Amino acid sequence: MPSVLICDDARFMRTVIGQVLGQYGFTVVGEADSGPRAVERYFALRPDLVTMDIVMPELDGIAAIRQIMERDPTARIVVCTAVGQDKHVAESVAAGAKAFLVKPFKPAQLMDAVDRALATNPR
Amino acid sequence: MQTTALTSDQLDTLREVANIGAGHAATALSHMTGRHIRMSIPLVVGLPTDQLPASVAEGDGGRIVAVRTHIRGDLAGDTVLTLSAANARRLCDALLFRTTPDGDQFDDLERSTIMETGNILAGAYLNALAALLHLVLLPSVPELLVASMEGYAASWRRRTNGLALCAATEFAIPEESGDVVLRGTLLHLPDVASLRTILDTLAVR
Repeated sequence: MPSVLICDDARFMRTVIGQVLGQYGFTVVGEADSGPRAVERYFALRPDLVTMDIVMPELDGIAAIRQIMERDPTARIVVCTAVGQDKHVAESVAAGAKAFLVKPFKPAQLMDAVDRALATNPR
Repeated sequence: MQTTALTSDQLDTLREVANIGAGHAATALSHMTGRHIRMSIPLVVGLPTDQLPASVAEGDGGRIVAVRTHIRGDLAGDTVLTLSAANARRLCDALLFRTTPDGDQFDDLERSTIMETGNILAGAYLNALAALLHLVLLPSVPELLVASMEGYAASWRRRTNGLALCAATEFAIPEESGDVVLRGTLLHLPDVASLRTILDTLAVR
C-alpha cells in the first residue's frame, strides 16, 4: 500500500486529498501545514508520494520541494495548488515536482497526477 | 489616480477584467460545490472605503465572514471573499456533505474550509488575470475574519487605506425553485499603482 504525505496549510484540503487517496488504497502516513514541516516530515517518514501546496506559511511549497529533492532526488511530489500560472508550473517542475494539479480538482484528476508521479523513479 | 477620474472606457475595461477573473472563480466554486453558480456582472466602484463594507456585505444583521488574500507579484492589493455567517455555514455544509444548525461559531475544520474556498477563488481569479495581462500574480496565505458588521467595517478601514477601487462580483447558488441557497461576494481591491498597471497593460487611456 503506497504511503503518502499530504502538505497543505488548509486542514480542509488535507482531509479531502486524504479521503480520495484513501479510497484508492493509499495510506496517509503524515500531514504538514507549512513548508518547513513538509521537509521535516518527508525525511522522518520517507513516503512513496508527497502532495504539496505552493502557498504555505514560512516556506512556500516550491522551496520545500527544492529542499527535499536536494537530499532525495528520487522523491515523487505532486503539486496541488490554487495558483496555476505558467511560471509556477515551470518553477515546480524545475524544482523536481512530477505532476502539477490546480485546485479545485476531481478525484480522477488527482489520481491521474498521482499515477504520473509514481511512474517516475520506480522503487 | 482617483477613481472619480476614471473614464468610462477605463471603468468598462476594469469591469471586464473583473468579469474574466470572477468567471474563473465561479467555475472553481462550481467544481467545488458541484452546483451551478450564478454570477452578477461585476460592480466596479470607487467609494469612500468606510462605505464599502455596507455596500458589499449581505445585511442580515448577523456576523460577517471574510477571507482576505494579499496579492503579490506584478500587482498589489487584496482579494476578499465576503459571506454572511449564515452563508458561510451553508458553504461548509455543502463542502463537508452535512447539515448543521445555523450559528456563527466555526470550528477548525469549518474555518479551514472557508479559508480554502477563499484561497481557491482568489487563485482562480488571479490565474485568469495573470493570463490576460501577461503578469505573474500570487495570493498570500489567506486570513480569516469572523466579526460583527462593525468589526468588519473597522478592519476594512484599517486595511484598505489608499485603496480607491473595488470590483465586486456576487456569486449565488440557486436551487431549482429559483431560491438562492448560498450567496457571497468576491472583491478585488487593486492598489492605485496596480490599477495603473492594469490599464497601461491593456493600453486603455
